[in-house]
Amino acid sequence: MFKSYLVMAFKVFMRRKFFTFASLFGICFTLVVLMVATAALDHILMPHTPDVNNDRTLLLANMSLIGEGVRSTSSPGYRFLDQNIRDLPKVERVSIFTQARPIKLYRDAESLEVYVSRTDGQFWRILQFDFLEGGPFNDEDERDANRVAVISRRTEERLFASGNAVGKMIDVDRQSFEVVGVVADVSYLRTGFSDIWVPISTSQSQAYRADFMSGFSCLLLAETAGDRRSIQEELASRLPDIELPDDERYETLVVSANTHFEAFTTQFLSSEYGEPQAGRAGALLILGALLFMLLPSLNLINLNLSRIFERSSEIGVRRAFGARSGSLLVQFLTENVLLTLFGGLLALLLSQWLLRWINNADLVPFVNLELNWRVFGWGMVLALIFGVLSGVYPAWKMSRLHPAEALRARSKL
Amino acid sequence: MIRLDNVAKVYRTARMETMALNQIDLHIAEGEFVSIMGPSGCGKSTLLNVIGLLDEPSEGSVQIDGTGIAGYSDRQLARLRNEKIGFIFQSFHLVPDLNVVSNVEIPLLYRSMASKERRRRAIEALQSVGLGSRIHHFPNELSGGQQQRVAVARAIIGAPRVILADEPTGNLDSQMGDEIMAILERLNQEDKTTVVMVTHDAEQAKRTARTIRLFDGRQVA
Ligand SMILES: Nc1ncnc2c1ncn2[C@@H]1O[C@H](COP(=O)(O)OP(=O)(O)OP(=O)(O)O)[C@@H](O)[C@H]1O
Ligand SMILES: [Mg+2]
Repeated sequence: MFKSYLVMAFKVFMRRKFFTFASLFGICFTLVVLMVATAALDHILMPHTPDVNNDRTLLLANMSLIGEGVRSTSSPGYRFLDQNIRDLPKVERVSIFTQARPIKLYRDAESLEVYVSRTDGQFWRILQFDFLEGGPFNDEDERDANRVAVISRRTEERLFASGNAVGKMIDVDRQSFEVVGVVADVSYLRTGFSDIWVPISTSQSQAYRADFMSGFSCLLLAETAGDRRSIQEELASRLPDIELPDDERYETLVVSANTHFEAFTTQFLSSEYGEPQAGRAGALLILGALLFMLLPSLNLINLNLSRIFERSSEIGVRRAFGARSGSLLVQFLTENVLLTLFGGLLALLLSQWLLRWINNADLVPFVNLELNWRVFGWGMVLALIFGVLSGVYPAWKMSRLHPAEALRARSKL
Repeated sequence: MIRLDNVAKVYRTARMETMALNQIDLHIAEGEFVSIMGPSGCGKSTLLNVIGLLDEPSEGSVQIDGTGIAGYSDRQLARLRNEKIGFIFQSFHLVPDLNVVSNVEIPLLYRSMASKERRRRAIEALQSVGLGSRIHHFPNELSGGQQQRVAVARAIIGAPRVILADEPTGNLDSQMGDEIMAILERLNQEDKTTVVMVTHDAEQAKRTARTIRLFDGRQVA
């Protein structure tokens, strides 16, 4: 019985090529966009190397000093972080580092642009890079200002044709560093992104140690994900007591420690004081996804409705020849589920192809988007629900019609 | 075979009530060939739908093959229709998405039967109406007469005891109409199938054993 429904569905698809195409296109397009968007969000928001602990971390990347008619905003300075952050309760680890900045490196006569970040030893404990060769530098290297460097695979390839860079020397800012480790490339969008990492203390000038503001970021690893709330509160309660530089001009200090998601959303929805807007952003994201799904589903329902009413004669005939209203429901359901599954399969192939293309085209440097199976699963479930609903509702309406009515509907046309 | 007692059918719409059938008492014996005649709108199709269990009477009782259908569920009605009755319509009502043989198989889909056997019987039924060579055509590739012969094949494939035909030749020219008429007569005579046919054609009505005349929902002869 069920097999004959499948065969029938297939015959209908082949005969109604336009309908089949339109439905498939709708399902496929929606799923593909959903897949690519979620792959991008997943890439940014979910734990990935090296941000594997990002459900326990807080990032301090901005500070504002506010006074009567003045306001200056920048990254935090080393002194502020060093003095006020390390002893926050429930913090397991603290890392202070600079954002990657591009410099020129010379290899033979060629100049290469690479990113350099200065970090401490804890940096390598909070973030988990994939070490391909060697290992990270540690707290002692930072304390003793050892000239050691970790470089990315890409940098290794560009600088040392032969590979195996550990033990070799590189010149950064007119200083020589010994390569101690090589890590797999990380995405531009990740915390801790760079091409070369060296200890902070190897900076030629030690002036940064006295700066209250600018130059650094700080990553905190909380003991548990839930502790982050109280850490944020403790930090906020400390701020009013901190002595400000130039306290003639500035009265208020604003620094927030953001979760990964908050940090991401403040970049897009920055409010007056750079406060986290995670709640609003999350709601917007979900709303956007729903709206996006809604449109094609309505379309599909509409398409199905008109098609099923067009098929009222068929429904009448089947009823006259012994179909129960239940069998008709199953028949239309089979058609829709089959169509949706097929659309989903196409979407899967297309998304995979599209993501590969995005990765290869280098639209965003070093981004490696991956198909998220969980999201694909949810997308399929949603599509199925819509497919089923869009088919069942009209079919249910028709199957409740008296067979005589269904037959008349056509002959009156 | 078919028994209607005091059957009435009222259609209610927002603006008015139509008494489509009024106090119909009817008995059609097994193996009879009966025609129904009457002016347009007198309730012929309604009567056929009530007999065919496609529509419930507002009043009165309907018996098919000795079983009263009062209180029957959708499932039970579907089963009765499937086993006992074959329908032929004026406008053919073939499924345009399915080819000829798949159209003919429809009644057997609602019985448990191997698909091979279904196919075999469909081809047999098509051969008996002279369409054995057209089984893979789609309905829109056939003439009106051919389409109606497909519909006849569909009506007989389940070997029903009763065939209900609502103006089966109404959309056909007289020659094609004669062909359909001949098939119905053959079914009635050879297989002893009970045939009830609505027609506007007095010549056709004469060829049947009995003519029921309706006027304004009432049986007048
Ligand atoms: N679903 C309905 N709702 C309201 N009135 C209806 C409905 N179906 C039929 N009628 C009315 O019932 C009456 C009988 O209709 P029916 O279709 O049985 O006539 P008929 O004798 O078959 O006519 P024709 O020869 O034109 O086919 C008509 O007046 C018609 O308008
Ligand atoms: Mg009629």
